[in-house]
Amino acid sequence: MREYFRERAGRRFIAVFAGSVAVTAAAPFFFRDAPPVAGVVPAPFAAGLVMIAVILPAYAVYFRRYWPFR
Amino acid sequence: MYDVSILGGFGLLLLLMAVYGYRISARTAEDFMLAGRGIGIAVMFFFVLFSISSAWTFYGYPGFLYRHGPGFSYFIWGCLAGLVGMYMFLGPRIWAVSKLNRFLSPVETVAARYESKALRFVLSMIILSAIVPYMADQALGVGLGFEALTGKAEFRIVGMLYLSMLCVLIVLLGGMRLAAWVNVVLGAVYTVTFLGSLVWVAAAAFPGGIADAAASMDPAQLALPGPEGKFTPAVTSVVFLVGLLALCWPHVVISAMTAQSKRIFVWMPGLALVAGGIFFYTVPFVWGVFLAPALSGLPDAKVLRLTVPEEAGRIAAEASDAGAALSGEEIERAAQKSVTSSCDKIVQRAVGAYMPSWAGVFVVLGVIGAALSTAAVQLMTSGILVSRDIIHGCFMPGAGDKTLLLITKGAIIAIVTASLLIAWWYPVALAEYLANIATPGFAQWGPAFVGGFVWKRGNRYGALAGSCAGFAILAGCFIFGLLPGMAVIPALAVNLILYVAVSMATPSPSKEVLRKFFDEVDVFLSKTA
Repeated sequence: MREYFRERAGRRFIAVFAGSVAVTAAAPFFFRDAPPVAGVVPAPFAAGLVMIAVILPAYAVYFRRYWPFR
Repeated sequence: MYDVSILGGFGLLLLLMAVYGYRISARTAEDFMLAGRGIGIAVMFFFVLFSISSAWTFYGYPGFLYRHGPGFSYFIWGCLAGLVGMYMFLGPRIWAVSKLNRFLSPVETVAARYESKALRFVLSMIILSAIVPYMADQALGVGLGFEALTGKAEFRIVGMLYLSMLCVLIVLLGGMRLAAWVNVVLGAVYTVTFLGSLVWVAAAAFPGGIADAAASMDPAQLALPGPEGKFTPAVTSVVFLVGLLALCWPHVVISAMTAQSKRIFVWMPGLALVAGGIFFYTVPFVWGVFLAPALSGLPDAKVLRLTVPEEAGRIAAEASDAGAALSGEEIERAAQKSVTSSCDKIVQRAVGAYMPSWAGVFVVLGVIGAALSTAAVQLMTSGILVSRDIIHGCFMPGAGDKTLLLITKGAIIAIVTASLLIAWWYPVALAEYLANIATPGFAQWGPAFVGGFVWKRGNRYGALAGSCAGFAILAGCFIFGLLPGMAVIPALAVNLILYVAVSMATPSPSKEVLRKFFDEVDVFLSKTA
């Protein structure tokens, strides 16, 4: 990961990735008794979808513009 | 007879593929073990997706969701984040360094980073001890499929033997290249049968299909902590962290070494997130969280839900009628085993109840595809660990290609036999083999593996101290039944702390190693197309 830390964009991308993973890991403490989202999507499943929704665009931008091995 | 001919024909088709793979292979160790480092993006994606999607995904995951509610989906999210992280940050480096130095196995690569034969032996043994039970999971899954298809418990062993024999023949004849190609075919069978059976069963049981099934659910069933209260917030978070450790699954790491070019590492994370995370793994989730519980909740349910208290009552009554004296603990254990087996077979039971009898065998083909696609890659990886890392690396360094291939093939037969014995001796829930045995075991080489590529200061003393201590804690907890499902946390914490502390307290790695694993890799990755 050293090469990702060299550039500002790399550091930002790692922060988004690690941050979303950490927030997802801690999320069960906040939605412990939460009802399903829209009455049907269980909270643990919705949390994972949110994680993907955060990582995916960050990944797309980072790898398209800044990937260190191009 | 109909079922036997379908299963026999399927086996024959795979054998013909194996023979073809044998005829086109170059018969060198590199070709046999790493498919000549020539796997392109399309095959790589299916190769990886279906090498991690196994009988566990087909039976174990929906079964566990059915029994414990949606909390266990957190394991999949953790796995996804771990795999994506591996391909983003570590994959290019391990690919480049193994290509530059012609390393044939992940452990060989890590041992070279730390310049330690002892570490090579230790890491190989740790990974083998986790991978063999994981293969047992596949054999057991197919065994359960045969049992559910025929309704006879004695057919479990037939299914286990069927899978093991196919697996050995495919790997012996075709090596890693064929394992990758067979994964594409098996994955197609797997996806069609899994998705097809979901849609079919939902349409047969509910007028509005899956939407009706979901609407019929009690919201309490869709929330934590699940019907048996297992998924507390702490357990759910730990399950996520255990899943995250997928970044050091050896059969995933070795796939990075087979890549044709570095561009593969640009595409794999995106494909994994979209095709794997959003689409593929939603199928077992819908099976286990919506469809199967909704089927059990129908007024004239054909698929009954067993609960531990009810099953314990039945077992106690039967024992009493037969005049047998069972202790409370024995009754509880028997009830747990019965409920576990019943939940693991929930998909096949639903298929048997709602689809025509001729279709049941095709669903079992899907399970075989799922199990075989994973077991073949695991078997290949284990064979490489035994031959390349233990025998060649530690005891017979002068062995040539021919000897190495022969040893790999011998190791493959021995490993399959060991996994069959484990599946027979220890038939726990399919989901538990992966989450509680294999993944925590794989995690114990994680600090040495990840640290070796991102931290220049990490050295052999830290890697040896951490991995040995972590594995000892894990093994101790397993043997004495301590911290069930949680043992990986203290084991990994101690492993990591020792890795860092001992590395800091002992001399730095040599300049030669730093040049080979960092400077040369940076230059290579920056320049090659």
